[in-house]
Amino acid sequence: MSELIFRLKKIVALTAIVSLWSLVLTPFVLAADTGDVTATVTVKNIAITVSDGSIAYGSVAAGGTKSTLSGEANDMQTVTNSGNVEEDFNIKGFNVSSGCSWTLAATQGSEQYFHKFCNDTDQDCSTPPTSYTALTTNYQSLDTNIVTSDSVDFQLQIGVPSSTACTSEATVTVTVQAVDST
Amino acid sequence: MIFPTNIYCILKKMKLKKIRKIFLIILLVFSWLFSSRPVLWQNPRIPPEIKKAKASAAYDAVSESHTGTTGSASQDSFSWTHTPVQTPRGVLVFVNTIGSSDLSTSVTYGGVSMNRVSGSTATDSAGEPGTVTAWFLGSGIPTGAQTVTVNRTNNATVMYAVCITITGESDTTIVGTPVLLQGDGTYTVQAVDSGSQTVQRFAAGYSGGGSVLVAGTGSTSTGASGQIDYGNYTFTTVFEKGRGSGSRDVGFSYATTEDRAAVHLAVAATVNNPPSLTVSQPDGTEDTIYVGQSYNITYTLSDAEDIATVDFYYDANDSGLDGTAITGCQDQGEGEGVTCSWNTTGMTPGSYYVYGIATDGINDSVNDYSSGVITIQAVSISITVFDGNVAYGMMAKNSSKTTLSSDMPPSGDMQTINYDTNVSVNINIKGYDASGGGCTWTLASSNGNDQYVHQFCNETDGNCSSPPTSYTALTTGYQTLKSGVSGVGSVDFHLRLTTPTESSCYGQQSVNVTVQAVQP
Repeated sequence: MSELIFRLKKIVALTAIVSLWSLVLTPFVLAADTGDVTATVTVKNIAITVSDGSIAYGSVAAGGTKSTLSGEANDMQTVTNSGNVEEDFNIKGFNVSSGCSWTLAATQGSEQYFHKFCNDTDQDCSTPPTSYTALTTNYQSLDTNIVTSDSVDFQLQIGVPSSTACTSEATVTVTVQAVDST
Repeated sequence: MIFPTNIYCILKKMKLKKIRKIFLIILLVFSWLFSSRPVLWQNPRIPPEIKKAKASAAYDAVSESHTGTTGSASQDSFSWTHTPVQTPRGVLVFVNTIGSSDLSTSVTYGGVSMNRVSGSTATDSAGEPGTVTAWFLGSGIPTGAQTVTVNRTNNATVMYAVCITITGESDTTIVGTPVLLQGDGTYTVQAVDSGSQTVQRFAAGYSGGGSVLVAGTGSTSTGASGQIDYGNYTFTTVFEKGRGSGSRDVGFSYATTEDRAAVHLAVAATVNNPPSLTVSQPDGTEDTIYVGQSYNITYTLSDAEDIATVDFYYDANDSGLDGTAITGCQDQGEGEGVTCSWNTTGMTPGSYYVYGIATDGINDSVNDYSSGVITIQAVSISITVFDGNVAYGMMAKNSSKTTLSSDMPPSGDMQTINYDTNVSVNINIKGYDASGGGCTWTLASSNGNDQYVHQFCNETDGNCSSPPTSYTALTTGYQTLKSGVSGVGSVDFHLRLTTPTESSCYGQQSVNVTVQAVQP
């Protein structure tokens, strides 16, 4: 009896499988057609890295100057296009307001300093102030049309005020900006 | 070690198993044959259709109003209980009045009025007068034991009655004209002609003789419950042993001349006609559809006596009844100009006759082929998208770009759907979540973090030149781009993409679009 039940179960199972398979094989006529539009988009990523991003000019006598050239601070900076579009690099400086109060200018003076930059990738920066441009508090072009992953080296030179009441360490920040050049 | 007795046991067991297997197979085969299902072939039908037995009217049971030798007298009515053996299809009540005229005024069976059988009153008015008359009920007969009531003229005249129930596969009716024997004479069997109908013949006879009439050749007495011996005269009932059509005898045999009154009549089952079926559509005129469409099969089915149903089939030709059952058009009911909707999804394109097989469960099935064919054409839907590629290129975050020439100079990148279809279709469009550039952007109706917008605009029917006016945000489900197009044509459309406000990746994202042409 149990053998009979087992065989009947097998028959039922087999029938179910055959039925399902029949459904699979049933020719469905799909009254539809499709077409595709292959579309792509890439979001622009405008990004840079500055290496190493830190300069320690050390002690500079009043009215003196110091550059990042190898004979002096030896700390050339490198800006790299780390985005996915061609970029223009701009650069600007700041007035010093924390601790000391120095004004960024083209020449040195009392409580007035200059900070100059030079594109060492495209120019000869070894004889400052030749090829050096004084930073302002507005962006000036450092370089243009830098493709992805390309870099620009630049040197800086600082000229501390001819006289100052400040004897503590002054922070003289420089910002490099990348903009879409496309 | 196996001993001979063990071998015998094993062989016996094996034999028993084999017998059980064979028995099971035989059981299954017989079950299939006698259940008549499933049908493997229509013509000839395999297995054969099981038909109901066609039993004609037949004697069932008898009862009498009075036992003993005394009948009814001086009362308005007399009643008794009649118990049928089978389902009664006819009721005959023979009333005997010991007088020269019938005194029964009405007869009821289970409260249902019976009809006096026309021409069924036989009278002997001289000597020992006696009258016999017949009442009949052939339809609407209550089942089970029922009271038979004979209403009569209230006087001293003696009356007596016999009730006979008749079985059959349908209602019954009196066939032909009753044959009477009246006045003095001898008794012989009487021929009652029923024409082509198979009938059950009955006879009721009054005799002025002292003995109960004897059943003639071919007839048999209903027995003690169908006769009375008053003493000087008698009344009895008989029925034909066999049943048949044409002119056949029933009655009594008594060679001595006596006062006599006898009725001979025939009862037949009501003629049961097969159903009538006509398939009027398709007739071949304007009967072309496409695969997947529905078609109304139109038919007229009727059956005067029974409930008939019809099964429909399609066939490559109009003969042989060897088609394929139409799902959804089986066991359809009666009516005039009735339709059954045939969903042709999955049909192989071609021309087909439609036929129906109708049955009433009693008669042989009837069939009818449509006079023309239904032509089922293949559905053809084709679309292509030109050029099928849109390169939005580099886009800033939270910015939009269209395929207009102003955004993609010099000529833009408008897409064109070219369709070629022999049916009316809707053109739908959908988008997808974007991926491939290192993250997933969700397709939405407004942009956000990793959420972008992709819109479409039907340039053929609208003005897409000033987005976002006339632009609709794509979703991952289809939306209608254009509806009800057919033949060969094209639809132009523009797309507009708005990038996420912030993206967690900056690789190239696939922002694909799919266009669909589909029957509504």
